[in-house]
Amino acid sequence: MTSVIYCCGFRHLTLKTQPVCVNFVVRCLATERPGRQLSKQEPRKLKITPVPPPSGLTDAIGPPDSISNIRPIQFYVPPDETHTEKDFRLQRQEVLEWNKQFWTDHNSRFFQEKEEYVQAHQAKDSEGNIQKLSPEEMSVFYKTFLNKNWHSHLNYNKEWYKKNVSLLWPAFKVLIIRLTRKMKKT
Amino acid sequence: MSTCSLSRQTATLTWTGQFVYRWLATEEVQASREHTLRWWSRKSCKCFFATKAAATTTSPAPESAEEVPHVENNSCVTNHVTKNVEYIMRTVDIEKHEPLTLHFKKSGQLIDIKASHISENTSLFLQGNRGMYHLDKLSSSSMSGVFPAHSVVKSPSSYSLTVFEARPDRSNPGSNIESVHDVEWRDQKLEPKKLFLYYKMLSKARLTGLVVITTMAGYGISPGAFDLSVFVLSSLGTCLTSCAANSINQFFEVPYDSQMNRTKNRVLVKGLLSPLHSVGFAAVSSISGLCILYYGVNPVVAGLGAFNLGLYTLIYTPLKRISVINTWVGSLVGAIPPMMGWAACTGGLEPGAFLLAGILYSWQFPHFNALSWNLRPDYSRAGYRMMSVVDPSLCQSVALRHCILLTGMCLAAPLLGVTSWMFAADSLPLNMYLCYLGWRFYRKGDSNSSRKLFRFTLIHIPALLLLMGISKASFGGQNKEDKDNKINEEFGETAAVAVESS
Repeated sequence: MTSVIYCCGFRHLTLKTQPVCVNFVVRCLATERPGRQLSKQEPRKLKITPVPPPSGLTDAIGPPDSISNIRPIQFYVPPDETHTEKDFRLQRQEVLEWNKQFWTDHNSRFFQEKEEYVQAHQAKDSEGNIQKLSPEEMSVFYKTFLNKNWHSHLNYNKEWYKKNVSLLWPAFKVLIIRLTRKMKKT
Repeated sequence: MSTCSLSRQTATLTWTGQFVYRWLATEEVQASREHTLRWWSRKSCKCFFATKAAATTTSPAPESAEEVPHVENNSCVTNHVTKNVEYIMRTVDIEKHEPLTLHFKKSGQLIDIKASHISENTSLFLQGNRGMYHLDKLSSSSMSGVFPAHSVVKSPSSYSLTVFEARPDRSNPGSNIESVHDVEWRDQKLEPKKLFLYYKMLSKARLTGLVVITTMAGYGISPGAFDLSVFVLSSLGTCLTSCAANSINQFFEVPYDSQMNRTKNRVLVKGLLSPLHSVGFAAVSSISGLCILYYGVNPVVAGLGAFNLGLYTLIYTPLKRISVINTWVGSLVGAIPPMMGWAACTGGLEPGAFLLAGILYSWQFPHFNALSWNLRPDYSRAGYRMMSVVDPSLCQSVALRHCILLTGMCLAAPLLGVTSWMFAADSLPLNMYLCYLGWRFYRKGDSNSSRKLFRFTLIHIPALLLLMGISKASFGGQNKEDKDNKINEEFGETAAVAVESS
């Protein structure tokens, strides 16, 4: 069993306070198969990136948000960013924020209402132990939630389609800009 | 849950990392199990022993634990009750030499380390059981807040780790961490080496494979003469069109796919390809696919392909959020590929083509309704108006109804001159078993019966098409008969492969 540990913050408690840790090995996990990607001469020593790589020359995409499940993106700003590129970046950012906002609200509402439903319908057996609700009992909640949010889903869907499609043309323009820039450099 | 393996730890306590997990259940459970539980308050960093529980856990000082009877801390309990978090108490042995990996969120490092170096505020991810555990301080220090002042733990040599395990609700993909890749950031750079893999994922290789198989079956079963080049071109064209349909579908569904564990690893969700890239891929493959069908096969097939592409991406995909009728539309989408195969062979749509389409159409219901049965929580949260969520009883009865309809259509196949009477006979056991499973799903409606039905549908359709191919009524031109038989054998192999892979 391999175990991976990660820290929930509180930097001051990390290695510096632990003198024994001099001999640790810093391992690369930024690439999916470190063994394959790195040559033999290269030490297996790299930063992995639970925070966006600071020197990245591309956009970086993060882990899904724990509530909204939407992955955050850190946008790379090229030094010679054109107007089109900036507009595109800001538009994407805006869509991302909007998505995150919707799903955060939506999912937290879902979990809260689910919790309330469970609390309200939980039965106890003779010994006082809580009986878990069966999938059939839960399905009543799922149905109500879906029906209750029909309009919000519909509006969201419409908006999302619009936003998603409206990003395509700017994306294409930016692609052309970046390609020409690359060609000029080489 | 338990404390059973604790007796083994005495000798190996130092640095081996005996992990004690705890369970803090809801209030009622806690009251009933007073004797085995400990409470742990994360905020105040204190451990409260319900009773003698500590005596059985690891611990530097079990005796002193016994001295602490029942510490009440209601605020702590209610706090957890509202969250409905459960904690489990059990122990796990971790080998001394086994490296743990520390993941520092702030600095972004992963460090291999011994268990001994772990400090507080760390979380532990065990790949073995995919659990994410939040570590308390080393117990030697955390205990000090718990025990009465006179029984301070003295020996720092006896380290053990108290592990605080929240039983995770895995239904939300964001909190369902399955590997370290689920917590890391990644540069959005296109990796040309993996492009083929990404395209395969983008076009949902398995689904496309099934679509192509049904097209090939349609071609094989139709009465026309067999022409290898037309056969290959129609399969290729259908394959490309299906790839295009699937990538457009994913382009539209990114935020929805993010919401479900089943779909959270799709390329666009993970940002492995850009939306523009996927649309470009779809455009190229749809245009080339439809051109192949139009010029290489015939306009009827190309028309059907274009119609199906539009039906899937423009009607079915948004309809999932709008109305429960999406399943019927989706079934229609699944019914068209065999018609395309048929039309590729004969150039027209005879009754047989519709029969074949009807079989595929009816098959979708037991298949999809059974699949969606166990995904109700996900569909509800992601806003999909699936029959299983909106009207569970309808979902069951429709599945059963179509099992029966499917049996009827198979029996009618010889009447329409599509197959010989042999097909009616040898498809009967398959269909009867499908009906039986459908009936069980209808009566019971539990996860077990739905799963069984779903699994059987995966075997059922390739087997049925194979039987149909074997016992087709007329083998086109007589001199082509040998060739046909060969193709049927080939198809049999493909179908077998498909069954294995699914």
